[in-house]
Amino acid sequence: MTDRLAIIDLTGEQVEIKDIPEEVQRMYLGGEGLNTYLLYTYLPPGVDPLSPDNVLIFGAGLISGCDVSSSRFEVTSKSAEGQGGFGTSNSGGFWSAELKYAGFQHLLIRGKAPRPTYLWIHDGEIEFRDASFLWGHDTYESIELILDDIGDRNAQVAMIGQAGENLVKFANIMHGLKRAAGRTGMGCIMGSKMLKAIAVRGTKGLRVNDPEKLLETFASHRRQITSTKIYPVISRYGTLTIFLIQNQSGMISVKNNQYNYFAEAEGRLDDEIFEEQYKTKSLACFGCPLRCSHRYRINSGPYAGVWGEGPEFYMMAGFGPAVGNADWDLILAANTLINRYGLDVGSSSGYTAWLMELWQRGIITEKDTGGLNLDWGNKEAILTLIHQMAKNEGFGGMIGQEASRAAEIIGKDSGRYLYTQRGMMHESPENTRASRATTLAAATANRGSDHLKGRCALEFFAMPPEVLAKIYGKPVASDFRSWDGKAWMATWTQHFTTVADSLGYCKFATIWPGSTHNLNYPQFCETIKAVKGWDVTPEELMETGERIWNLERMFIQRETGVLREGDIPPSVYFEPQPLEPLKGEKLDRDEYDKRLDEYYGIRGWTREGTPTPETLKRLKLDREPSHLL
Amino acid sequence: MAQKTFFIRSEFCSGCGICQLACSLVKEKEVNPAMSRVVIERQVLDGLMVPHICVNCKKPACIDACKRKAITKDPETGWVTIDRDRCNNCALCVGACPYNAIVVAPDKQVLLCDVCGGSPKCAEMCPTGALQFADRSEGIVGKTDTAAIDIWK
Repeated sequence: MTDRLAIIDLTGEQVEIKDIPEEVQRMYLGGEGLNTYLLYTYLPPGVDPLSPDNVLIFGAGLISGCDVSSSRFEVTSKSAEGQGGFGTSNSGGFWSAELKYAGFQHLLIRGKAPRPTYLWIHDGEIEFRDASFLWGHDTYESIELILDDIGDRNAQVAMIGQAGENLVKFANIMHGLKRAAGRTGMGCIMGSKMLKAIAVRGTKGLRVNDPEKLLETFASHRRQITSTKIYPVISRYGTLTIFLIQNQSGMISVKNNQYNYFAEAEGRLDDEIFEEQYKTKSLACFGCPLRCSHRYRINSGPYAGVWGEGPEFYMMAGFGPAVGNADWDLILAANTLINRYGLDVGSSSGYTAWLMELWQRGIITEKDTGGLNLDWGNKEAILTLIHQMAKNEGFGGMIGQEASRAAEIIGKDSGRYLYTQRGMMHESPENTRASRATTLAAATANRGSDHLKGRCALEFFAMPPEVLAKIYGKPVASDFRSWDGKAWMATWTQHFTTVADSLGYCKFATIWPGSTHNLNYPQFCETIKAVKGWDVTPEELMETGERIWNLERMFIQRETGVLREGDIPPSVYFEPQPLEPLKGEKLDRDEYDKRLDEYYGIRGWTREGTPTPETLKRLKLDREPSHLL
Repeated sequence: MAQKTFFIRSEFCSGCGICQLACSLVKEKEVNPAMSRVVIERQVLDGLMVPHICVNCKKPACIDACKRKAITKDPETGWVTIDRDRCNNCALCVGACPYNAIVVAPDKQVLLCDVCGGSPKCAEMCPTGALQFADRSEGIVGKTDTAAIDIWK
C-alpha cells in the first residue's frame, strides 16, 4: 500500500498527487512528523503566516484507521498566533481514518481561494465546491449544511467557524461537535485561505501487510487499554477527572495564576457532578474503546436547553478557576459557544483571565471594555467576550485580532500580567511550576507553552524509582519537586508524544497520561510491523521522535530566530505559590538556567539552544530540506 | 441446542467502530469499515449511534424477498446466511430487511453477517456491550430483580 500526498492549490484550483516514498516515511512517519518535513520543505522562508504563500498541511497518522485509538490527525502551518513560529495541532475524531480510506495520507494546501470554498474528498477524487452558502455559519450548522449539500451522511468534516473566517488569531479547526485542532491559530490560516471546510469520505479500504497479525495486534491492544486501572475512570469521566486532583494538590491557575487552589470549586466543580447532572452519553473517536467524550445538556437555570459535546479538563479549569468561576452551567454554555465559533479554549479563557486581572487592578475600566464589567466570574461578561472575540466586535474583537499584542494597545502595566511564551498565551489552567519535568518540557515545547508535549504525568504519582528507571531507561527522581533526572524525563516525553502524534495514536491510550500499563513503544512497533511490514525497534522510533523534534527546532530557528529566550516559562512561574498545598513553591531562575543547559546538553544543542552540526548529522538532518517528496 | 444471536443496545454504543474494523479484517482481510457487515448509523448532531447487524430473525423477511433462494436459515443454529454463488446482488433482501441489517458494499455486492461460525469478533471486541452475541432464549436486558442496579459498564 502506497500512501499519497495531495498538493492542493486553492488559487488555481489545481491538484497534484504524489506517492510518499518509503524512505521519507521511515524518517518522519506521518502525522506531525511528515507534516513538519513538508512544512520545512514547501514553505518559502519568511512569508507572512496569513499570506497565500503559507501552507496548511493536514496529515493522518501513519497507522491511523488501522489500530485502536490511532485515529488522530495533525494540522501544521506557520503559526498565526504568537511570533509566527511552528504552528501545529492535533485532533481526534473520525476525519483521519476517513481521509486514509479516501486514499490520502497528507494534504498540503496553498494559495487562496477566490471565493469561499470547501473541499469534498471522496475515494481519490478532490472537488472544489462553493462555500458561499456556508460562510458566516458556525460549525454545528456547517456540518448539517455540508452533509446535506454532498448527500452523504457518512462524510466526516473538518471546518472553521466564524472565528476562523474573521481571522481570530487563536481560531481552531474543528471536527464534529467538539474535536478541535487548537492553539497556534490553524483556523485563522484556514480562514485566510477562504477555505471553510474539508469533507472526506472513503470506501476504498487499506491493504495492510499482514491482516491476520493486525487483527491479533488490534485485539491485544484493545485488551491492554481496557485492562488498565485508569480505564474505568477515563471511559466514564474523561479528562474531567484531572480537575479535582489538580485543584486539591494546589496546581491549578486561579484568577490568572494569582492563586493555586480554588476553594469555591469544592463540592461544585467536579467530574461526578457533571456525570450526574449534565451528561447524557459517552462518545468515542474512531476505533477507540476509551470513549472519553461526553454529550451534555443543561436542564435548568438561565442556560437551560444548551447542549453540546465535550468538555475537557482544560475547559473546566480555563472557564472555571482561571476566570474565578465555580458554576458548571457557565462552563458548559461557554464550551458550546467556543466549539460552535471555533475558538481555542486555552487562549480564549487565558485572555479572559488576563483582562479580569487588569480590571481587578484598575488597569482597565469600563471606558476600555466598552461597558463590560469584568469582575471575576461575571458570567454575562465572559460569554459576551467570547461572542466579541469570534465576531471581531468591540473590546473582545480587538483581543481576538491582536492576541498577545493587545498588551501594547492597552499599554500601562498590562503586559506584566500577560503570561506568554513565544508570543503564545500560556495555557490558562496550567500552574505546574512545582513539578519540574512538566515545567521544563512544556516551556521548551516547539509551539510554546504546550502541555500536550510537556505534561510528564508519571512525575505526579511518586512512583518507585525502579519503576521510573525501567520506563525512562535512566534514573528519575520520584518527587515531582526534585530536578534529578528531570531534564531527561522531559526529553523522553517530548520524543514519545511526537512519535504518538506522528503515528496517529491518542496519547490517552499510551503511558503518557499516567498508566504505565498502556501502549508504549513496543506496541507501536507491533502495529507498524503488521501494517507496513517494517521491522522497527523502540530505539529507532525514539530517534525518529528526536529527529522530528530537531527539525521543528530548525524551523523555529529559520522563521523566528528565537531559541533560548523562548524556552523560559512565564514570569509568574518564578514567583512563590501563595496557597497550600505547595505554598512557597517556585522555580529558581538560576536553577532553571542550569537545568536548561543540562537539557540542551542531552539534546546535543549549544548553550544558545541551537542543534549542533554533529547532532544534525547524527539524526540525518544535515541535508534538509532534502526534497525527496 | 440453545440458539445464539445478536442483541443491540444502542444507548451504550459510543460509535467507535471497533466492531467494523474487526469485521473487515476478518471477512475481507483489509481495513475497511465500508465493507463491514456491521453498520453504525451515526447521527452526529444528535449524538445517536445505532448499530445495525443481522439478528437472525425467526421468520426472516429477506428469505421471502429473495427470488433466487440465496438466503437460508439453519434450523438448528437459527443463523441466516447468504449463498454468494446464488446471489446476484439484486438487493431485494436489503429493502425487505426490517432492521437495515443487510449491507450494499461500495462495489454493489450484498453483504450479510454470517456470525463467523458462532464466535463473532465484533461482539467480542465491543468495549461497551452495545453489541452482544447471546442466548436468544435469555436476551441481554437482564432479570427484573436486578433492574434497579446501575447498568453502566
